[in-house]
Amino acid sequence: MKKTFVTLMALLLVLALGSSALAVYDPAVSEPSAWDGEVTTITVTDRLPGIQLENNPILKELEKRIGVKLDISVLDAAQYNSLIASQIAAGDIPDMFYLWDNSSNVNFQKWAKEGLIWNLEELADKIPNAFTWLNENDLAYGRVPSLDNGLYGLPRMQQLTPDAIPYRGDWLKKLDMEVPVTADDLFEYCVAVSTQDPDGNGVDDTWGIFVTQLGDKGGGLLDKNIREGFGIEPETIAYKVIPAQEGFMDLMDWYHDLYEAGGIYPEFYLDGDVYADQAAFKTGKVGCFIKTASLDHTMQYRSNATNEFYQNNPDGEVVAGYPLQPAGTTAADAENYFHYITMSCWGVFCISKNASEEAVDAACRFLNFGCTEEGVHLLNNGIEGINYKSWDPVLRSKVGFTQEEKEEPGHEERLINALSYLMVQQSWPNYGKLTFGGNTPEEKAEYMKRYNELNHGFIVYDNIDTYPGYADLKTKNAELTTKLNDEMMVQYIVGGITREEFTDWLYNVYCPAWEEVEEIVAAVRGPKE
Amino acid sequence: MAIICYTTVGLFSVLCFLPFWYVIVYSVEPYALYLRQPEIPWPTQFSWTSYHLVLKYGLIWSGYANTAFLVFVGTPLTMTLMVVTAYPLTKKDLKGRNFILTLWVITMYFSGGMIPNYILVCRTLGLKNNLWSLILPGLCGCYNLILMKNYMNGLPGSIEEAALIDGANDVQVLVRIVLPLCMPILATLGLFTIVGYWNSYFNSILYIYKPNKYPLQRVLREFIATDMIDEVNQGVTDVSQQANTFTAKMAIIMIATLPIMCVYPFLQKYFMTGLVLGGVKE
Amino acid sequence: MPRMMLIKQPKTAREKFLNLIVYIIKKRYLYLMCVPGLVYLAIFCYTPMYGVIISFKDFSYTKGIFASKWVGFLYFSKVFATSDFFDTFRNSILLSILRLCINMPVPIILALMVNEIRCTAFKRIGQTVMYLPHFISWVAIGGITITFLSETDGLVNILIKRMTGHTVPFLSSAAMFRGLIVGTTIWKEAGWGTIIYLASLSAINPELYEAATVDGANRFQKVWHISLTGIASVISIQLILQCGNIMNNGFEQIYMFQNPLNIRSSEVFETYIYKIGLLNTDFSYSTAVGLFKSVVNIILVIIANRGAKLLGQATFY
Repeated sequence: MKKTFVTLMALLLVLALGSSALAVYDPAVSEPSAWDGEVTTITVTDRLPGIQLENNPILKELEKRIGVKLDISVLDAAQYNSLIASQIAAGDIPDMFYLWDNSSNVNFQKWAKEGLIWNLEELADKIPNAFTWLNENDLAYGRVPSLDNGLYGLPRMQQLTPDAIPYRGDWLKKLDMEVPVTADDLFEYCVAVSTQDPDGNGVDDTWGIFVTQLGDKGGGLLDKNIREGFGIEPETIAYKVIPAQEGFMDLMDWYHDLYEAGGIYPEFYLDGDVYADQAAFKTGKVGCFIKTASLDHTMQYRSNATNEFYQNNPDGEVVAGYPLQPAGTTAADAENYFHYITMSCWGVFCISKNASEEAVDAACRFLNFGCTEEGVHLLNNGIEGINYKSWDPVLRSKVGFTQEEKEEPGHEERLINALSYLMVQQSWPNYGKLTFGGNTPEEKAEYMKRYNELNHGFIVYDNIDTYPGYADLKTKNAELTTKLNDEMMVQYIVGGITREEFTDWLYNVYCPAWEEVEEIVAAVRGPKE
Repeated sequence: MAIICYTTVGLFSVLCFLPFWYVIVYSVEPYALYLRQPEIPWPTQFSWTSYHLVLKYGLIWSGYANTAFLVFVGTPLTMTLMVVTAYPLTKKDLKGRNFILTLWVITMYFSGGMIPNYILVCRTLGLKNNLWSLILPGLCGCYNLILMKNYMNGLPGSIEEAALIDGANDVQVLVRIVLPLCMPILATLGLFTIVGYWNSYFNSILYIYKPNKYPLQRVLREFIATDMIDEVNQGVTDVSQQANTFTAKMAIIMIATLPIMCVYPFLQKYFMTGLVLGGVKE
Repeated sequence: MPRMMLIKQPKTAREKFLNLIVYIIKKRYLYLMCVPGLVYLAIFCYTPMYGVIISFKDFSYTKGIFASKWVGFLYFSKVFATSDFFDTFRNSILLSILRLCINMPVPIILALMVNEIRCTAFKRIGQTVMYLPHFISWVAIGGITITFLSETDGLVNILIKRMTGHTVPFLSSAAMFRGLIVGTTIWKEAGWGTIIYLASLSAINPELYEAATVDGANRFQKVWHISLTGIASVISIQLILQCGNIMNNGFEQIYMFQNPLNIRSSEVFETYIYKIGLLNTDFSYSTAVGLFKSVVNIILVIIANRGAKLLGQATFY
């Protein structure tokens, strides 16, 4: 009976998706564009050394289709910013370059101000697709509000990240608990995992939660999934930085108590490895962790990202929990709360003012092509038969080669990676990233269903980094920010300093330094009601 | 006395070797095994996936070739320049010697910084993406030069003087008399230089932007840094990530370190045995 | 009478110049040997040095280094005005002094010991193994160290707990941090550091030892009077070089082991600048810091060099 029902549902689902997907680009049907003019070479930058620069079929295809030959420089990922800055300072500016952290990068604004990069709105007639592919919220990522609000970089929109906290479903069952909804629930779960040996190996070697703390390393202590449960709002809504808000000390006390109760992985502050938390989860050491970007809430489907978990925990189960809700609410109220789906912008593309007219034209042609279904498909997935086997337009997913096919002689040459950071866009408008989640068609279908369900209610996370004046304030307070991240919070949580010492520093030193935030937000959004 | 020496050296050696041994063990066992029993000093189960994956990475091979170029072309150049520069600096009465020496010493502490170096190497000399940009700017370090100079200073001066009186010129004295006496320091600094070239990656970050021109250590670095920032998930969806990143890191450390480990014991033999008596007797 | 004249007569500039020419021609080979090095210095070291003026300018991308506006010591005062400057300064100096007092003698002692070993096979293998850690990068060593020393599941702490019932917070206490750095540095570099001493030990004339044996010296006396004296000049030079490196503590290693609980002793210039600089690639600011470090270093080198001269030891230059 149940099976029939599931089949029926799946069928319905496929039908529904199929009809909605009719408009989706299918390379088997569509005719590729062709270029008959001269081929122009432009110098561009990338961050990953994994791309093959010679005989790359995608690069060749680009020449054929739009007449642009990319001369790619690969800049070291960790030094990317200072390398770009050095090249520009030395007058050796690439025709088009990628900038991954434009919103917080002071140089981006500086270059815009000094007239080193194009305001793309002046080139709007050459990249019309960008303005239809991206909506105003997306474009906001590339604007410089502190100058003339011009579009100095073309945002590279990546994926909708449904925010969720992955839990151990099998442990929840064993402990006879529900997926945590409020901070109290989570507290209880963490302590239970730490003390009741849910993996049943007789050794006290499991912990409730693993939070990586440092801001510049992809921090977790102030993650919005947890923050939500304490009524802490984004700066742009509260008109205050997070530590200055009322709920902040509640949150810190919560962590402090949880640490004392043994619910937090005891060495969470040793974060030499950004993925220490995921590794601990995948290897069955912790009951949950707070980092959403790479696991999605669809972690329960076996994708490459989750196989490692199942390898280490054959009987394990991952379930998704939504961001914490205020005390007193239940799972039934969830739809009022699980609302953050962050459309993430992974940097912008800038065009140099030093570039020749032909180079500017070619760069525009490339960006414009990158904002079409054909372009997104080619740059992300590559070419059928070379980079992938076939394409499933319904699931917006490519079908890869099987293991046997991969081992066939001659296949090696076909296994050439698609371009990495030069994928101009990574998602269809208003939809998620291509090809993600699930290994089987059923899993992928279920994944897409959830994605689409979640999609309709997403809120764009208003980024204070783009507000005029905020970057300067941040530079001025750089010391305080690193001190809060690197020392004070953790010291208080593990009991290295007393609550008085912490609040004394917080309210007498830290918060006063950030008072200007209110004016900065008010200048954009009007005075606080 | 002898016992203390043997024990200390022995213990220290074991201590040095142990973590390295663990790297080997971790690189050939499945990650799950490492997690369960990191302390067991031998692999109870073998898995070559990571080596398989890492060796498939085409940049490893071009990295080897590029590093070989640096070592085989750079080392002779560096050593020649060093010997030629150090010798005149040993002549205490040579006019202008102190001035030249000071010029060298200053370079240990002051440099122009990234931008002028970039302008010089990439724009003025046009060495961007050229392996020579990894050899020329750091051709001769002051530290090694001073070591060489001081070693030469310590040589007995009487043979040289005799040779000069016999009518040999300075070049002949250097080549025929001083150099043979310098073999221990030449071997030592030669090894330093080789290791320096082998381990160099920082200049390549500044001057090399084509992956097929990366030296080996840069490839190692990119490999480690790359997964740190989740770039594989970032678009290159086709790459199978089944080999665990930790294990892969261990494997690539082995791959990038092994060759030089095979080289240095031979050099060591060279400078540690017969050369002790290398004609120092007067 | 004519003799007196000759001595008293001052040389004219022209004569001086001619004498110099004659001198240079006489020593032409020596001077010619200096030329390649000087050419190298001129091109690769001195040409780019104009870059230090960035620290006195408000760098503008469009104007470039030369045309940017002068701001005097603005960036230097910015560096000194940071609230944690003196803590950072203290940590840097303290750590360096520790390096000087502990990391400096270890390779010397090791080298003397290795030199005393008569069994060639043991000596060879021992040396080969001691050099190994030098080739492993800090990234890898950091990971390995955490694996061994972690309080939750580190091998060392498991053993300590079995014996004493307690664990030792190697990685997470400010008091332990300097020991951690010194220890890992010894592990990585001490063996490699012996090379230079062993090379100079190998250059000591064996006849000296023979003569000492004839004179009835015991083994320790031979080590003290012959071996140590024989490498005194190398030690002196290494010491001077170390003094000149007081402000450099090596970014990679420290950043690897730094965490919020030991930050009070682990924040040094390199890490501090990195974190502040991360928010803003500020060429003027970072050049100012670099220049400040260089000046302190070179002053220290000169002092150390003078000291060595006074003690009659080999000097750096």
